[in-house]
Amino acid sequence: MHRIILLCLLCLIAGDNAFAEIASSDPHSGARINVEFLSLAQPDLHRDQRLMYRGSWRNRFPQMPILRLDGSLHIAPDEEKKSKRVDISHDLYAASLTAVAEYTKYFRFSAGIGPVLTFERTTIDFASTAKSVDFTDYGILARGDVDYAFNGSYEANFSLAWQSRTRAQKSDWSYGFGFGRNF
Amino acid sequence: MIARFALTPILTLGLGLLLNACGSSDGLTTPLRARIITSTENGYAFKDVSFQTLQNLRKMEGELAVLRGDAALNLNSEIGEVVKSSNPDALYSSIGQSVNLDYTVEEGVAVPRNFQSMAMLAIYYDYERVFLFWRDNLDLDLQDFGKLRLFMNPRIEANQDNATVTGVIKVNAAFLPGPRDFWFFKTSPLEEIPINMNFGVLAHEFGHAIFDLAFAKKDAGFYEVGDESGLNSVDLEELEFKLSALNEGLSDFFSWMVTGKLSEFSESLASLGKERVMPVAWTLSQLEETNNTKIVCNGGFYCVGSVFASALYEVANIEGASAVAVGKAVLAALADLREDWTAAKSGVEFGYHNIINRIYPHLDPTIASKACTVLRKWFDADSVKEKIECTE
Repeated sequence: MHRIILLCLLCLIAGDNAFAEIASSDPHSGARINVEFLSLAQPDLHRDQRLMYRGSWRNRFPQMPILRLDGSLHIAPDEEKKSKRVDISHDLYAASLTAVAEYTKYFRFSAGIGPVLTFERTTIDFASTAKSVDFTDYGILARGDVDYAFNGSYEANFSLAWQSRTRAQKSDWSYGFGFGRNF
Repeated sequence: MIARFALTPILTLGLGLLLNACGSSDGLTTPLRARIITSTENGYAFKDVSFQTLQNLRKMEGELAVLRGDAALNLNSEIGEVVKSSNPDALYSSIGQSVNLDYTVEEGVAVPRNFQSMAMLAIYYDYERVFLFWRDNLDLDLQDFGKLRLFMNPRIEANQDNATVTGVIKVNAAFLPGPRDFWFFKTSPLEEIPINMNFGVLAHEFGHAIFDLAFAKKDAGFYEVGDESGLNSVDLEELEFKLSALNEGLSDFFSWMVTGKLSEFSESLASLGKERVMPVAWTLSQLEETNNTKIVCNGGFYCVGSVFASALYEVANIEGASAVAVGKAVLAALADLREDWTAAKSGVEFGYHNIINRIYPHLDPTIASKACTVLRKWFDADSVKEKIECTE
């Protein structure tokens, strides 16, 4: 929570929001890089908190000004050391395509939903031998963002997302912040 | 402005439902098989193992036991009181839920997809191995013993002043008399082989459950000594110390009896290898001369327990004896020991000699003389040695 408050304070300190300028320029695309905290469902029903990195691009439809399409790639590596001799890391990668509706007043609020494809790689490292197990899954990702524009080109955002993975029968959520560039 | 959504999410939902409906079985057949890291004749290794009693792999439930996750232990009360309680409501602020295993099937074998899934599979497999050993060699009956719950990574919770404090315990496993539950705590990077994958540790905790069945008859209240004993708090503490030492020592012996290995504990923590591997480097007199003050051994009642375990280990290695035969004698002795413990609650003296004198008559007469020598060697403190009733 303190991270969210910090981000909001930074936004206020940064000065006036520049969305009026963006609306008039109507950019057709942009790119984002986010650092998020992923709460990943575990078999014992606890949640594993880990860092996730998300790179995304967005494209706005000129004919439908409140709609855009976001594409994202997520990387959530497992960096926790399990034990001295048995180390099993589970890295999660995901790609999503999200249809997003947005509303601008002071900030840009957006909400979207779309399909997500996940790829999990489990590496079992034991007795100087590493074995890998791969698993692909699909599901649904829903997300909400609040964007703040420093000017017509650069933005900061806070992001909240939830995804449901079908085959694994798990749902995870994440929150984080990032920076973007409009083109 | 009213937000409008495109058709994409609706199509996605529909596609998801369709794919779900078309989902096939996961390709597993009974008996269920899994690829885990487990204790083998040549130490810990990857192995494809078969489960004889596991019925639901996803929820990790079988005839013998069921794993549960997301439980919270209630620490609002005094921990000692909580642990002795047979009331689950006093013990748990949340009883948890079924687990949800992650696995991939390769050629009919379930391969775990993360650390916890590997640990859960190892826990059930080891539990099954231990139970079947006891059933096949010492006539353990599932009806008597019960289908027990194995709690994975329980957290601890305390509520005070409308705030909840949550904590995580690591590097341990436990058996709780009363509800007769097993707890497997979170793994620490300090562990070599994770404790929850350690066959010897599970066999040790199972030993406590056997102790509870044979000695306490599943009654958590039987362990307790009340005011009617007339003992002061120091004497009460000493009595509890002796019973704990006995419980730990017999469980260490049972663990060796089942696994056939002395090195199991030290596979996880080297420090356990120093003080728990039989035979240990001290006898009872050395512990009592130093008043159990960690000069000889650091582990409190575990140190006396190791004397018990070492004595029984040596008896089992007498020519003509066996670990199972000694195990049977111990099991019979625990039932007999109830009488001594009941008397102790009324103020009658209770010491380490009580269990030895209960075990000795159940040993094979052909090893009785040598066994007597061994027992007197380990229990060489004057307070015990003179009270051991056996013939060398």
